[in-house]
Amino acid sequence: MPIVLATTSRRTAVIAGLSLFAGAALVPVSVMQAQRDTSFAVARDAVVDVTVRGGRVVVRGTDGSTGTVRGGDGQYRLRATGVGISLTNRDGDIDSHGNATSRPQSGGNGDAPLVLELPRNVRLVLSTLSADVEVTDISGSVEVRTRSGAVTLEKVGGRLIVETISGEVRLTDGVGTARVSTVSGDVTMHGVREEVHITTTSGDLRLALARATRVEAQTVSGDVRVEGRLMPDAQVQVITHSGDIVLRSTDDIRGTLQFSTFNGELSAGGQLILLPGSSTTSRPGRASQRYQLGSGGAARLVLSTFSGDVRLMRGAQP
Amino acid sequence: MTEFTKAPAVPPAPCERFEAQVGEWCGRALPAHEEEWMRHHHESCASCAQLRREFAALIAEARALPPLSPPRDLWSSIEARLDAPVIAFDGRPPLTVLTRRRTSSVRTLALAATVLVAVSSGVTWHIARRTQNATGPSNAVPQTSTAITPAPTASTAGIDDADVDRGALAWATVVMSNTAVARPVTRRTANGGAGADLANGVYDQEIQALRSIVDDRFAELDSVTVRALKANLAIIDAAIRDSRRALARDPRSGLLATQLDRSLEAKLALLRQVALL
Repeated sequence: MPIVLATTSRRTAVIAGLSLFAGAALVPVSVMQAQRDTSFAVARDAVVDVTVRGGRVVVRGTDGSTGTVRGGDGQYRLRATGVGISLTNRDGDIDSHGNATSRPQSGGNGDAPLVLELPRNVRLVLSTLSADVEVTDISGSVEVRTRSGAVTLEKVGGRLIVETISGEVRLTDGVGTARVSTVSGDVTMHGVREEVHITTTSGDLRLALARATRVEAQTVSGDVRVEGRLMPDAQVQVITHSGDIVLRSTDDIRGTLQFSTFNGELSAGGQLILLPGSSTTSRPGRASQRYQLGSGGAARLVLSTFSGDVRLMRGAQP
Repeated sequence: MTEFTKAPAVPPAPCERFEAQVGEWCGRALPAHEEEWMRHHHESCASCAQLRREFAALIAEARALPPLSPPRDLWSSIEARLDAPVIAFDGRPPLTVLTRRRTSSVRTLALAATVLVAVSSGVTWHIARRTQNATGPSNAVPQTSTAITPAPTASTAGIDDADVDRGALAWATVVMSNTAVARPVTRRTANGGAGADLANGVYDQEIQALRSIVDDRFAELDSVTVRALKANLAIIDAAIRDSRRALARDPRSGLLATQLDRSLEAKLALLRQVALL
Protein backbone atom coordinates (compact mmCIF):
# COMPACT_ATOMS: atom_id res chain seq x y z
CA MET A 1 0.00 0.00 0.00
CA PRO A 2 1.37 3.38 -0.83
CA ILE A 3 1.96 6.12 1.64
CA VAL A 4 0.14 9.18 0.50
CA LEU A 5 1.08 12.79 0.56
CA ALA A 6 -1.72 15.29 0.78
CA THR A 7 -1.48 18.29 -1.45
CA THR A 8 -3.48 19.89 -4.24
CA SER A 9 -2.66 20.24 -7.83
CA ARG A 10 -3.47 23.91 -7.92
CA ARG A 11 -1.46 24.62 -4.84
CA THR A 12 1.52 22.53 -5.74
CA ALA A 13 3.82 25.50 -6.04
CA VAL A 14 2.69 26.98 -2.76
CA ILE A 15 3.06 23.74 -0.94
CA ALA A 16 6.45 23.14 -2.42
CA GLY A 17 7.51 26.46 -1.00
CA LEU A 18 5.99 25.71 2.34
CA SER A 19 7.70 22.35 2.34
CA LEU A 20 11.02 24.07 2.06
CA PHE A 21 10.01 26.49 4.77
CA ALA A 22 9.00 23.71 7.05
CA GLY A 23 12.10 21.73 6.39
CA ALA A 24 10.37 19.24 4.15
CA ALA A 25 9.15 17.03 6.93
CA LEU A 26 8.71 14.00 4.76
CA VAL A 27 8.48 10.55 6.11
CA PRO A 28 10.86 7.76 5.17
CA VAL A 29 8.73 5.16 3.47
CA SER A 30 10.67 2.15 4.61
CA VAL A 31 10.48 3.14 8.22
CA MET A 32 6.76 3.69 8.15
CA GLN A 33 5.97 0.44 6.47
CA ALA A 34 8.33 -1.71 8.42
CA GLN A 35 7.50 -0.82 11.96
CA ARG A 36 4.42 -0.60 14.05
CA ASP A 37 6.19 1.96 16.22
CA THR A 38 6.80 4.46 13.48
CA SER A 39 9.55 7.04 13.55
CA PHE A 40 9.55 9.97 11.21
CA ALA A 41 11.43 13.19 10.66
CA VAL A 42 9.63 16.36 11.68
CA ALA A 43 10.83 19.89 11.22
CA ARG A 44 10.91 21.79 14.47
CA ASP A 45 8.30 24.28 13.32
CA ALA A 46 6.15 21.84 11.37
CA VAL A 47 2.42 21.59 11.75
CA VAL A 48 1.36 18.25 13.16
CA ASP A 49 -2.25 17.59 12.41
CA VAL A 50 -3.87 14.72 14.30
CA THR A 51 -7.41 13.63 13.58
CA VAL A 52 -8.81 10.86 15.73
CA ARG A 53 -12.34 9.67 16.27
CA GLY A 54 -12.28 8.03 19.66
CA GLY A 55 -10.10 6.32 22.18
CA ARG A 56 -7.24 8.19 23.78
CA VAL A 57 -4.47 10.29 22.31
CA VAL A 58 -1.30 11.17 24.17
CA VAL A 59 1.10 13.73 22.74
CA ARG A 60 4.44 14.43 24.38
CA GLY A 61 7.06 16.94 23.41
CA THR A 62 10.64 15.78 23.12
CA ASP A 63 14.03 17.12 22.13
CA GLY A 64 15.36 16.58 18.64
CA SER A 65 13.67 16.41 15.29
CA THR A 66 12.22 12.94 15.23
CA GLY A 67 8.67 12.03 15.98
CA THR A 68 7.34 8.65 16.88
CA VAL A 69 3.86 7.22 16.89
CA ARG A 70 2.78 3.97 18.45
CA GLY A 71 -0.22 2.24 19.86
CA GLY A 72 -3.73 2.97 18.74
CA ASP A 73 -3.93 -0.65 17.55
CA GLY A 74 -1.93 0.42 14.54
CA GLN A 75 -5.11 1.78 13.03
CA TYR A 76 -3.79 5.06 11.81
CA ARG A 77 -2.70 6.71 8.62
CA LEU A 78 0.26 9.02 8.53
CA ARG A 79 0.77 11.51 5.76
CA ALA A 80 3.20 14.28 5.01
CA THR A 81 1.25 17.39 4.09
CA GLY A 82 3.96 19.61 2.82
CA VAL A 83 3.98 21.76 5.93
CA GLY A 84 4.10 18.96 8.41
CA ILE A 85 2.55 15.68 9.34
CA SER A 86 -1.05 14.58 9.32
CA LEU A 87 -2.12 11.59 11.34
CA THR A 88 -5.59 10.15 11.03
CA ASN A 89 -6.81 7.09 12.81
CA ARG A 90 -8.58 4.48 10.77
CA ASP A 91 -11.52 4.13 13.04
CA GLY A 92 -13.53 6.33 10.76
CA ASP A 93 -12.29 9.60 9.38
CA ILE A 94 -13.51 12.91 10.63
CA ASP A 95 -13.16 16.31 9.16
CA SER A 96 -11.59 19.40 10.65
CA HIS A 97 -14.56 20.05 12.88
CA GLY A 98 -14.93 16.57 14.18
CA ASN A 99 -17.61 15.31 11.82
CA ALA A 100 -17.50 11.69 10.83
CA THR A 101 -16.90 11.32 7.12
CA SER A 102 -16.77 7.58 7.02
CA ARG A 103 -17.98 4.76 9.15
CA PRO A 104 -15.75 2.99 11.61
CA GLN A 105 -13.91 0.14 9.99
CA SER A 106 -12.92 -1.75 13.06
CA GLY A 107 -12.88 -1.70 16.77
CA GLY A 108 -10.09 0.78 16.73
CA ASN A 109 -11.18 2.35 19.96
CA GLY A 110 -9.18 -0.20 21.81
CA ASP A 111 -7.57 0.44 25.13
CA ALA A 112 -4.18 1.16 23.67
CA PRO A 113 -3.75 4.90 23.48
CA LEU A 114 -2.29 6.48 20.41
CA VAL A 115 0.98 7.94 21.62
CA LEU A 116 2.89 10.57 19.69
CA GLU A 117 6.22 11.96 20.67
CA LEU A 118 7.05 15.10 18.77
CA PRO A 119 9.66 17.84 18.77
CA ARG A 120 8.28 20.23 21.32
CA ASN A 121 8.37 23.26 19.05
CA VAL A 122 5.84 21.91 16.58
CA ARG A 123 2.44 23.43 16.10
CA LEU A 124 -0.09 20.81 17.13
CA VAL A 125 -3.61 20.69 15.74
CA LEU A 126 -5.74 17.92 17.21
CA SER A 127 -9.32 17.10 16.24
CA THR A 128 -11.39 14.37 17.81
CA LEU A 129 -14.95 13.30 18.27
CA SER A 130 -14.85 11.55 21.62
CA ALA A 131 -11.20 10.78 22.12
CA ASP A 132 -9.61 11.93 25.34
CA VAL A 133 -6.57 14.05 24.69
CA GLU A 134 -3.44 14.50 26.75
CA VAL A 135 -0.80 16.95 25.63
CA THR A 136 2.41 17.47 27.57
CA ASP A 137 5.43 19.66 27.06
CA ILE A 138 4.62 21.25 23.73
CA SER A 139 5.95 24.78 23.45
CA GLY A 140 4.49 25.60 20.05
CA SER A 141 0.88 26.59 19.66
CA VAL A 142 -1.70 23.92 20.41
CA GLU A 143 -5.21 23.71 19.05
CA VAL A 144 -7.58 21.00 20.26
CA ARG A 145 -11.10 20.56 19.00
CA THR A 146 -13.29 17.81 20.32
CA ARG A 147 -16.92 17.11 20.95
CA SER A 148 -16.91 15.06 24.09
CA GLY A 149 -13.37 14.04 24.79
CA ALA A 150 -11.62 15.27 27.91
CA VAL A 151 -8.66 17.53 27.24
CA THR A 152 -5.70 17.46 29.62
CA LEU A 153 -2.78 19.78 29.02
CA GLU A 154 0.44 20.20 30.90
CA LYS A 155 3.41 22.47 30.25
CA VAL A 156 1.90 23.98 27.15
CA GLY A 157 3.85 27.12 26.49
CA GLY A 158 2.53 28.63 23.29
CA ARG A 159 -0.83 29.91 22.23
CA LEU A 160 -3.55 27.52 23.25
CA ILE A 161 -6.96 27.10 21.71
CA VAL A 162 -9.39 24.50 22.99
CA GLU A 163 -12.91 24.06 21.71
CA THR A 164 -15.21 21.38 22.99
CA ILE A 165 -18.87 20.72 23.44
CA SER A 166 -19.04 18.59 26.55
CA GLY A 167 -15.48 17.58 27.20
CA GLU A 168 -13.73 18.77 30.33
CA VAL A 169 -10.64 20.88 29.94
CA ARG A 170 -7.84 20.68 32.46
CA LEU A 171 -4.61 22.58 32.25
CA THR A 172 -1.70 22.49 34.62
CA ASP A 173 1.47 24.50 34.59
CA GLY A 174 0.30 27.43 32.59
CA VAL A 175 0.23 28.76 29.09
CA GLY A 176 1.02 31.98 27.35
CA THR A 177 -2.33 32.92 25.93
CA ALA A 178 -5.31 30.62 26.10
CA ARG A 179 -8.71 30.71 24.46
CA VAL A 180 -11.06 28.01 25.66
CA SER A 181 -14.63 27.44 24.60
CA THR A 182 -16.95 24.78 25.91
CA VAL A 183 -20.68 24.30 25.97
CA SER A 184 -21.10 22.15 29.04
CA GLY A 185 -17.59 21.05 29.80
CA ASP A 186 -15.92 22.27 32.98
CA VAL A 187 -12.65 24.13 32.71
CA THR A 188 -9.88 23.93 35.29
CA MET A 189 -6.67 25.83 34.72
CA HIS A 190 -3.71 26.07 37.05
CA GLY A 191 -0.79 28.41 36.65
CA VAL A 192 -2.48 30.71 34.15
CA ARG A 193 -0.09 33.31 32.83
CA GLU A 194 -0.68 36.26 30.54
CA GLU A 195 -4.13 36.12 28.96
CA VAL A 196 -6.99 33.71 29.14
CA HIS A 197 -10.38 33.94 27.45
CA ILE A 198 -13.00 31.37 28.37
CA THR A 199 -16.59 31.04 27.28
CA THR A 200 -19.01 28.35 28.29
CA THR A 201 -22.72 27.92 28.69
CA SER A 202 -23.08 25.64 31.67
CA GLY A 203 -19.56 24.53 32.44
CA ASP A 204 -17.96 25.57 35.71
CA LEU A 205 -14.68 27.44 35.54
CA ARG A 206 -11.88 27.27 38.02
CA LEU A 207 -8.80 29.33 37.34
CA ALA A 208 -5.67 29.47 39.42
CA LEU A 209 -3.66 32.43 38.26
CA ALA A 210 0.10 32.72 38.31
CA ARG A 211 0.93 36.02 36.67
CA ALA A 212 -2.19 36.66 34.66
CA THR A 213 -2.57 40.05 33.05
CA ARG A 214 -5.97 39.59 31.51
CA VAL A 215 -8.79 37.20 32.30
CA GLU A 216 -12.07 37.15 30.44
CA ALA A 217 -14.66 34.57 31.39
CA GLN A 218 -18.27 34.37 30.36
CA THR A 219 -20.84 31.77 31.32
CA VAL A 220 -24.59 31.50 31.39
CA SER A 221 -25.18 29.16 34.30
CA GLY A 222 -21.67 28.01 35.07
CA ASP A 223 -19.98 29.13 38.27
CA VAL A 224 -16.64 30.89 38.07
CA ARG A 225 -13.89 30.72 40.62
CA VAL A 226 -10.74 32.73 40.07
CA GLU A 227 -7.92 32.61 42.57
CA GLY A 228 -4.25 33.32 42.78
CA ARG A 229 -2.07 36.25 41.99
CA LEU A 230 -3.05 39.06 39.69
CA MET A 231 -0.56 41.41 38.12
CA PRO A 232 -0.92 44.96 39.49
CA ASP A 233 -2.40 46.17 36.21
CA ALA A 234 -4.44 43.05 35.56
CA GLN A 235 -7.81 43.26 33.86
CA VAL A 236 -10.41 40.73 34.90
CA GLN A 237 -13.83 40.53 33.36
CA VAL A 238 -16.24 37.82 34.48
CA ILE A 239 -19.81 37.76 33.25
CA THR A 240 -22.45 35.21 34.16
CA HIS A 241 -26.20 35.02 34.09
CA SER A 242 -26.99 32.79 37.02
CA GLY A 243 -23.54 31.49 37.84
CA ASP A 244 -21.84 32.59 41.03
CA ILE A 245 -18.47 34.29 40.95
CA VAL A 246 -15.76 33.89 43.53
CA LEU A 247 -12.56 35.89 43.23
CA ARG A 248 -9.88 35.10 45.77
CA SER A 249 -6.62 36.96 45.58
CA THR A 250 -3.51 36.06 47.50
CA ASP A 251 -2.50 39.72 47.53
CA ASP A 252 -4.39 42.96 47.95
CA ILE A 253 -6.05 43.98 44.74
CA ARG A 254 -5.60 47.68 44.13
CA GLY A 255 -7.72 49.19 41.45
CA THR A 256 -11.36 49.52 40.52
CA LEU A 257 -14.26 47.13 40.52
CA GLN A 258 -17.25 47.60 38.26
CA PHE A 259 -20.00 45.38 39.59
CA SER A 260 -23.37 44.89 37.94
CA THR A 261 -26.20 42.63 38.97
CA PHE A 262 -29.95 42.36 38.78
CA ASN A 263 -30.58 40.46 41.97
CA GLY A 264 -27.28 38.93 42.89
CA GLU A 265 -25.34 39.89 45.96
CA LEU A 266 -21.84 41.18 46.47
CA SER A 267 -19.78 40.34 49.49
CA ALA A 268 -16.19 41.35 49.99
CA GLY A 269 -13.50 40.54 52.47
CA GLY A 270 -11.64 43.79 51.99
CA GLN A 271 -12.14 47.51 51.69
CA LEU A 272 -14.56 48.68 49.03
CA ILE A 273 -15.25 52.36 48.42
CA LEU A 274 -18.13 53.35 46.19
CA LEU A 275 -16.90 55.79 43.59
CA PRO A 276 -18.68 58.86 42.22
CA GLY A 277 -20.76 58.10 39.19
CA SER A 278 -21.72 54.73 40.56
CA SER A 279 -25.38 54.13 40.49
CA THR A 280 -28.11 52.06 41.96
CA THR A 281 -31.76 52.01 41.23
CA SER A 282 -34.38 52.48 43.88
CA ARG A 283 -35.01 48.75 43.91
CA PRO A 284 -32.88 46.80 46.30
CA GLY A 285 -30.10 44.82 44.73
CA ARG A 286 -30.65 46.08 41.20
CA ALA A 287 -27.42 47.90 40.78
CA SER A 288 -24.47 48.80 38.67
CA GLN A 289 -21.77 50.10 40.92
CA ARG A 290 -18.17 51.10 40.73
CA TYR A 291 -15.83 50.67 43.65
CA GLN A 292 -12.32 51.43 44.53
CA LEU A 293 -10.45 48.35 45.66
CA GLY A 294 -7.96 48.77 48.46
CA SER A 295 -6.11 52.03 48.22
CA GLY A 296 -6.65 52.24 44.48
CA GLY A 297 -4.41 51.18 41.64
CA ALA A 298 -4.27 49.98 38.06
CA ALA A 299 -6.13 46.69 38.36
CA ARG A 300 -9.54 46.64 36.69
CA LEU A 301 -12.25 44.18 37.64
CA VAL A 302 -15.54 43.97 35.79
CA LEU A 303 -17.94 41.48 37.36
CA SER A 304 -21.48 41.15 36.10
CA THR A 305 -24.31 38.77 36.81
CA PHE A 306 -28.04 38.63 36.43
CA SER A 307 -28.77 36.55 39.50
CA GLY A 308 -25.45 35.09 40.46
CA ASP A 309 -23.72 36.15 43.65
CA VAL A 310 -20.23 37.59 43.77
CA ARG A 311 -17.73 37.09 46.55
CA LEU A 312 -14.36 38.78 46.78
CA MET A 313 -11.93 37.17 49.15
CA ARG A 314 -8.37 37.75 50.15
CA GLY A 315 -5.75 35.25 51.16
CA ALA A 316 -4.78 31.77 50.15
CA GLN A 317 -7.42 29.11 50.16
CA PRO A 318 -7.50 27.28 53.47
CA MET B 1 1.74 -2.89 10.48
CA THR B 2 0.42 0.45 9.60
CA GLU B 3 -1.97 0.27 6.69
CA PHE B 4 -2.28 2.77 3.91
CA THR B 5 -5.03 2.79 1.38
CA LYS B 6 -6.27 4.81 -1.51
CA ALA B 7 -9.87 5.43 -2.32
CA PRO B 8 -11.34 4.39 -5.64
CA ALA B 9 -12.00 7.13 -8.14
CA VAL B 10 -15.68 8.07 -8.19
CA PRO B 11 -16.57 10.34 -11.09
CA PRO B 12 -19.09 12.89 -9.77
CA ALA B 13 -22.47 13.20 -11.40
CA PRO B 14 -22.94 16.45 -13.37
CA CYS B 15 -24.99 18.17 -10.68
CA GLU B 16 -22.57 17.10 -7.97
CA ARG B 17 -19.71 18.34 -10.07
CA PHE B 18 -21.53 21.62 -10.50
CA GLU B 19 -22.26 21.85 -6.79
CA ALA B 20 -18.66 21.15 -5.97
CA GLN B 21 -17.42 23.96 -8.17
CA VAL B 22 -20.12 26.58 -7.96
CA GLY B 23 -18.29 28.57 -5.31
CA GLU B 24 -15.14 28.73 -7.37
CA TRP B 25 -17.15 29.54 -10.44
CA CYS B 26 -18.86 32.45 -8.74
CA GLY B 27 -15.45 33.58 -7.60
CA ARG B 28 -14.07 33.24 -11.14
CA ALA B 29 -11.44 30.82 -9.90
CA LEU B 30 -12.01 28.02 -12.37
CA PRO B 31 -9.93 27.26 -15.45
CA ALA B 32 -11.50 28.20 -18.76
CA HIS B 33 -12.62 24.73 -19.77
CA GLU B 34 -14.29 24.14 -16.40
CA GLU B 35 -15.97 27.52 -16.62
CA GLU B 36 -17.29 26.58 -20.01
CA TRP B 37 -18.64 23.29 -18.67
CA MET B 38 -20.26 25.06 -15.72
CA ARG B 39 -21.90 27.59 -17.98
CA HIS B 40 -23.23 24.89 -20.25
CA HIS B 41 -24.60 22.82 -17.37
CA HIS B 42 -26.03 25.88 -15.71
CA GLU B 43 -28.03 26.65 -18.82
CA SER B 44 -29.40 23.15 -19.07
CA CYS B 45 -30.21 22.40 -15.42
CA ALA B 46 -32.82 24.40 -13.55
CA SER B 47 -31.83 23.27 -10.05
CA CYS B 48 -28.19 24.12 -10.62
CA ALA B 49 -29.17 27.46 -12.08
CA GLN B 50 -31.12 28.12 -8.89
CA LEU B 51 -28.12 27.07 -6.80
CA ARG B 52 -25.93 29.44 -8.71
CA ARG B 53 -28.40 32.30 -8.17
CA GLU B 54 -28.45 31.59 -4.44
CA PHE B 55 -24.69 31.59 -4.27
CA ALA B 56 -24.47 34.80 -6.23
CA ALA B 57 -27.03 36.41 -3.94
CA LEU B 58 -25.11 35.32 -0.86
CA ILE B 59 -21.89 36.68 -2.27
CA ALA B 60 -23.56 39.94 -3.20
CA GLU B 61 -24.95 40.30 0.31
CA ALA B 62 -21.61 39.53 1.82
CA ARG B 63 -19.91 42.10 -0.39
CA ALA B 64 -22.41 44.71 0.68
CA LEU B 65 -21.46 44.30 4.31
CA PRO B 66 -19.12 46.65 6.11
CA PRO B 67 -15.60 45.38 6.73
CA LEU B 68 -15.47 42.58 9.27
CA SER B 69 -12.60 41.34 11.32
CA PRO B 70 -11.58 38.05 9.75
CA PRO B 71 -12.43 34.97 11.74
CA ARG B 72 -9.44 33.30 13.28
CA ASP B 73 -7.96 30.99 10.64
CA LEU B 74 -11.27 29.20 10.26
CA TRP B 75 -11.39 28.93 6.52
CA SER B 76 -7.78 27.98 6.11
CA SER B 77 -8.43 25.16 8.54
CA ILE B 78 -11.47 23.97 6.62
CA GLU B 79 -9.82 24.29 3.27
CA ALA B 80 -6.61 22.59 4.28
CA ARG B 81 -8.44 19.52 5.43
CA LEU B 82 -11.37 19.21 3.13
CA ASP B 83 -9.77 19.99 -0.15
CA ALA B 84 -6.62 17.97 -0.05
CA PRO B 85 -6.32 15.70 -3.04
CA VAL B 86 -3.83 12.96 -2.53
CA ILE B 87 -0.83 12.12 -4.63
CA ALA B 88 1.39 9.15 -4.32
CA PHE B 89 4.31 9.72 -2.04
CA ASP B 90 6.65 7.59 -4.11
CA GLY B 91 6.25 9.50 -7.32
CA ARG B 92 3.38 7.58 -8.82
CA PRO B 93 0.68 9.49 -10.65
CA PRO B 94 -1.66 11.44 -8.39
CA LEU B 95 -4.40 9.45 -6.78
CA THR B 96 -7.94 10.63 -6.68
CA VAL B 97 -9.29 12.58 -3.79
CA LEU B 98 -10.28 10.50 -0.81
CA THR B 99 -14.05 10.52 -0.39
CA ARG B 100 -14.41 13.05 -3.14
CA ARG B 101 -18.15 13.20 -3.16
CA ARG B 102 -18.35 13.64 0.57
CA THR B 103 -15.75 16.36 0.74
CA SER B 104 -17.39 18.30 -2.03
CA SER B 105 -20.68 18.24 -0.21
CA VAL B 106 -19.10 19.08 3.11
CA ARG B 107 -17.16 21.87 1.56
CA THR B 108 -20.27 23.34 0.05
CA LEU B 109 -22.12 23.07 3.35
CA ALA B 110 -19.20 24.50 5.25
CA LEU B 111 -18.95 27.37 2.81
CA ALA B 112 -22.66 28.04 3.03
CA ALA B 113 -22.59 27.93 6.83
CA THR B 114 -19.56 30.16 6.94
CA VAL B 115 -21.11 32.68 4.59
CA LEU B 116 -24.34 32.62 6.56
CA VAL B 117 -22.52 33.15 9.83
CA ALA B 118 -20.50 35.97 8.33
CA VAL B 119 -23.59 37.56 6.86
CA SER B 120 -25.61 37.20 10.05
CA SER B 121 -22.77 38.54 12.19
CA GLY B 122 -22.29 41.42 9.85
CA VAL B 123 -25.97 42.27 9.75
CA THR B 124 -26.12 42.43 13.54
CA TRP B 125 -23.01 44.55 13.66
CA HIS B 126 -24.20 46.84 10.92
CA ILE B 127 -27.68 47.39 12.31
CA ALA B 128 -26.44 47.71 15.86
CA ARG B 129 -24.01 50.38 14.74
CA ARG B 130 -26.72 52.14 12.77
CA THR B 131 -28.98 52.05 15.79
CA GLN B 132 -26.27 53.47 17.98
CA ASN B 133 -25.53 56.21 15.50
CA ALA B 134 -29.19 57.07 15.27
CA THR B 135 -29.75 57.23 18.99
CA GLY B 136 -26.40 58.53 20.07
CA PRO B 137 -24.17 56.86 22.57
CA SER B 138 -26.32 55.35 25.21
CA ASN B 139 -25.38 55.41 28.78
CA ALA B 140 -26.79 52.18 29.97
CA VAL B 141 -26.54 53.14 33.60
CA PRO B 142 -29.03 55.59 35.10
CA GLN B 143 -27.08 58.43 36.58
CA THR B 144 -28.42 58.50 40.07
CA SER B 145 -26.01 58.01 42.85
CA THR B 146 -26.50 56.50 46.22
CA ALA B 147 -23.73 56.66 48.77
CA ILE B 148 -23.23 53.34 50.44
CA THR B 149 -19.76 53.70 51.80
CA PRO B 150 -17.80 56.78 52.79
CA ALA B 151 -16.97 59.16 49.98
CA PRO B 152 -13.69 58.63 48.18
CA THR B 153 -10.64 60.52 49.16
CA ALA B 154 -9.32 63.27 46.96
CA SER B 155 -6.65 60.98 45.56
CA THR B 156 -9.22 58.53 44.21
CA ALA B 157 -11.88 60.93 43.07
CA GLY B 158 -9.97 61.63 39.90
CA ILE B 159 -10.55 58.19 38.45
CA ASP B 160 -12.38 58.69 35.20
CA ASP B 161 -15.53 56.60 35.04
CA ALA B 162 -15.56 56.89 31.28
CA ASP B 163 -12.14 55.25 31.18
CA VAL B 164 -13.46 52.27 33.05
CA ASP B 165 -16.44 52.05 30.73
CA ARG B 166 -14.26 52.29 27.65
CA GLY B 167 -12.08 49.58 29.08
CA ALA B 168 -15.06 47.35 29.54
CA LEU B 169 -16.19 48.04 26.01
CA ALA B 170 -12.75 47.34 24.65
CA TRP B 171 -12.82 43.93 26.22
CA ALA B 172 -16.18 43.15 24.83
CA THR B 173 -15.34 40.68 22.16
CA VAL B 174 -18.01 38.40 20.95
CA VAL B 175 -16.53 34.97 20.93
CA MET B 176 -17.99 32.43 18.65
CA SER B 177 -16.96 28.86 18.87
CA ASN B 178 -14.94 28.68 15.73
CA THR B 179 -14.67 32.33 14.97
CA ALA B 180 -13.80 35.15 17.21
CA VAL B 181 -15.17 38.29 15.64
CA ALA B 182 -14.21 41.48 17.37
CA ARG B 183 -17.03 43.94 17.06
CA PRO B 184 -18.96 46.37 19.16
CA VAL B 185 -21.38 44.79 21.54
CA THR B 186 -24.90 45.02 20.26
CA ARG B 187 -26.43 47.41 22.74
CA ARG B 188 -30.02 48.43 22.82
CA THR B 189 -30.91 51.80 24.20
CA ALA B 190 -31.72 51.90 27.86
CA ASN B 191 -35.15 53.39 27.33
CA GLY B 192 -36.33 50.66 24.96
CA GLY B 193 -38.40 51.95 22.04
CA ALA B 194 -37.54 51.60 18.38
CA GLY B 195 -33.91 50.75 18.99
CA ALA B 196 -34.85 47.85 21.19
CA ASP B 197 -37.43 46.63 18.69
CA LEU B 198 -34.88 46.77 15.92
CA ALA B 199 -32.32 44.90 17.98
CA ASN B 200 -34.90 42.27 18.87
CA GLY B 201 -35.81 41.91 15.21
CA VAL B 202 -32.22 41.45 14.17
CA TYR B 203 -31.59 38.84 16.81
CA ASP B 204 -34.79 37.01 15.93
CA GLN B 205 -33.89 36.98 12.26
CA GLU B 206 -30.41 35.70 12.91
CA ILE B 207 -31.61 33.03 15.27
CA GLN B 208 -34.30 31.92 12.85
CA ALA B 209 -31.85 31.75 9.96
CA LEU B 210 -29.38 29.68 11.94
CA ARG B 211 -32.06 27.54 13.48
CA SER B 212 -32.88 25.75 10.24
CA ILE B 213 -29.23 24.88 9.70
CA VAL B 214 -28.93 23.76 13.29
CA ASP B 215 -31.97 21.51 12.96
CA ASP B 216 -30.31 19.87 9.98
CA ARG B 217 -27.11 19.44 11.94
CA PHE B 218 -29.00 17.87 14.83
CA ALA B 219 -30.19 15.19 12.46
CA GLU B 220 -26.58 14.34 11.63
CA LEU B 221 -25.00 14.54 15.06
CA ASP B 222 -24.91 11.78 17.63
CA SER B 223 -27.68 11.73 20.18
CA VAL B 224 -25.44 12.47 23.17
CA THR B 225 -24.11 15.62 21.58
CA VAL B 226 -27.58 16.68 20.50
CA ARG B 227 -28.90 16.21 24.03
CA ALA B 228 -26.06 18.28 25.46
CA LEU B 229 -26.61 21.03 22.92
CA LYS B 230 -30.35 21.12 23.40
CA ALA B 231 -29.97 21.21 27.17
CA ASN B 232 -27.64 24.18 26.90
CA LEU B 233 -29.86 25.95 24.42
CA ALA B 234 -32.64 25.52 26.97
CA ILE B 235 -30.41 27.10 29.64
CA ILE B 236 -29.80 30.07 27.41
CA ASP B 237 -33.48 30.32 26.52
CA ALA B 238 -34.29 30.43 30.22
CA ALA B 239 -31.75 33.24 30.66
CA ILE B 240 -33.35 35.11 27.78
CA ARG B 241 -36.77 34.70 29.36
CA ASP B 242 -35.45 35.92 32.72
CA SER B 243 -33.95 38.98 31.12
CA ARG B 244 -37.01 39.76 29.02
CA ARG B 245 -39.33 39.39 31.99
CA ALA B 246 -37.18 41.67 34.12
CA LEU B 247 -36.79 44.17 31.30
CA ALA B 248 -40.54 44.26 30.77
CA ARG B 249 -40.92 45.38 34.37
CA ASP B 250 -38.12 47.90 34.15
CA PRO B 251 -37.74 48.87 30.49
CA ARG B 252 -35.41 51.77 31.26
CA SER B 253 -32.78 49.55 32.80
CA GLY B 254 -29.60 49.55 30.76
CA LEU B 255 -28.26 46.80 32.94
CA LEU B 256 -31.14 44.50 32.01
CA ALA B 257 -30.92 45.45 28.36
CA THR B 258 -27.27 44.51 28.37
CA GLN B 259 -28.06 41.24 30.12
CA LEU B 260 -30.65 40.42 27.50
CA ASP B 261 -28.21 41.21 24.71
CA ARG B 262 -25.61 38.99 26.29
CA SER B 263 -28.03 36.10 26.52
CA LEU B 264 -29.09 36.56 22.92
CA GLU B 265 -25.45 36.75 21.85
CA ALA B 266 -24.77 33.55 23.77
CA LYS B 267 -27.57 31.82 21.92
CA LEU B 268 -26.32 33.07 18.59
CA ALA B 269 -22.80 31.96 19.40
CA LEU B 270 -23.98 28.48 20.27
CA LEU B 271 -26.14 28.23 17.16
CA ARG B 272 -23.20 29.34 15.05
CA GLN B 273 -21.04 26.76 16.75
CA VAL B 274 -23.50 24.01 15.91
CA ALA B 275 -23.92 25.26 12.36
CA LEU B 276 -20.18 25.05 11.86
CA LEU B 277 -19.75 21.67 13.54
